[in-house]
Amino acid sequence: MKTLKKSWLLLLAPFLIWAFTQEENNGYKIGETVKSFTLKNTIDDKMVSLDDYKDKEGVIVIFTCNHCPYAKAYEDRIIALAKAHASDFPVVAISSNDQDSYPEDGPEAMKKQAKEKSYPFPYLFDETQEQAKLFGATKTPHVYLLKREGKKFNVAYIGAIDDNYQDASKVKKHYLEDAIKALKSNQKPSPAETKAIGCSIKWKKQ
Amino acid sequence: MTKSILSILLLFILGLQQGTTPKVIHTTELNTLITPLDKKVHVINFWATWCRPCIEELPDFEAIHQELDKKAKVSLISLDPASKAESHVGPFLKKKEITADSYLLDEVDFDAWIPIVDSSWSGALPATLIIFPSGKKVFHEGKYSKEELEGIILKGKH
Repeated sequence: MKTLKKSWLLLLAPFLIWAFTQEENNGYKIGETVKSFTLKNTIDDKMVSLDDYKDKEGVIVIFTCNHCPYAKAYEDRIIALAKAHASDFPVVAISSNDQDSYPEDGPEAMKKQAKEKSYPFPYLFDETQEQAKLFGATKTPHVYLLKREGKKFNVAYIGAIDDNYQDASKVKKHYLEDAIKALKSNQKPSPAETKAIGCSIKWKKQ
Repeated sequence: MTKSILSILLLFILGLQQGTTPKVIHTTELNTLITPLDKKVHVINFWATWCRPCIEELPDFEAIHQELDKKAKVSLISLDPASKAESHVGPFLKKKEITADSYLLDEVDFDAWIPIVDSSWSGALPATLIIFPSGKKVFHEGKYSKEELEGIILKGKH
């Protein structure tokens, strides 16, 4: 009986390992279809849905926030991106940070920041943090470039905007711009994923 | 003679003042840090002065450094800009009374070195890599409590 129990454990082991590793890798993968979402735009309190962008080539979804120095460092670059790609790949910014621990990231503060800098893109508040979880966003800024295929939006690129957060003039690799260029010439972005340091998304206390 | 004694003294005082300034390193030194050759458990914590959860857990890493120094070696790697190593990070570590080995990684092309630390690291801070003498590695993105750190270092539990 004892050996039988042990062999069961052995059989279970690969599954347990799989289940354990799954935890770290959840969220949309490259090529996966993003479920449509509707969130409130803190700028004008109107609802914005992914379905509103069905006449575009795709959408640049950026998880960002007010307080994070990396998000701040990229703010002007995100504004420039949004202006440059308003007609083909518009920017949709989402903040998912817990407003209880970080009031500076709450909807009122978001509205203020967006108005001060005249954001040319919606700044959505993901109050339930559901979108951050579905996307698998872990930090700010965290970019998801979506390509529209028919009525679906599929993930084409995940990661950083470029390779130098400190100095925009010293950027050598424009990861996101290159990914957009690739999509516009019907190619797959390469790299399709990049990593960058960011502030962790501030999850609600359970 | 007096001159040389004076200059030695001056160097000594400067040394004391700069004792907490992190050593600015690059990918090569990072590689050395994450491939230790001794018999200690190496605890490598990535943090930044602007990262609130990182600052909250710093005292726990310092406590591990002081209490388990025979068994574990703690290295703190700041990801603040290199220009702030002396003006910002050093004074900050001094204020927090951190004596563990401290570095500042001066590499902005994150995609080039994050995967070297761990393939599962998305880049969010804080993050900690623990390396056992056997070569086994435990990587964690997020905060650690002192109890969790002790558990991993002493019993290999994670």
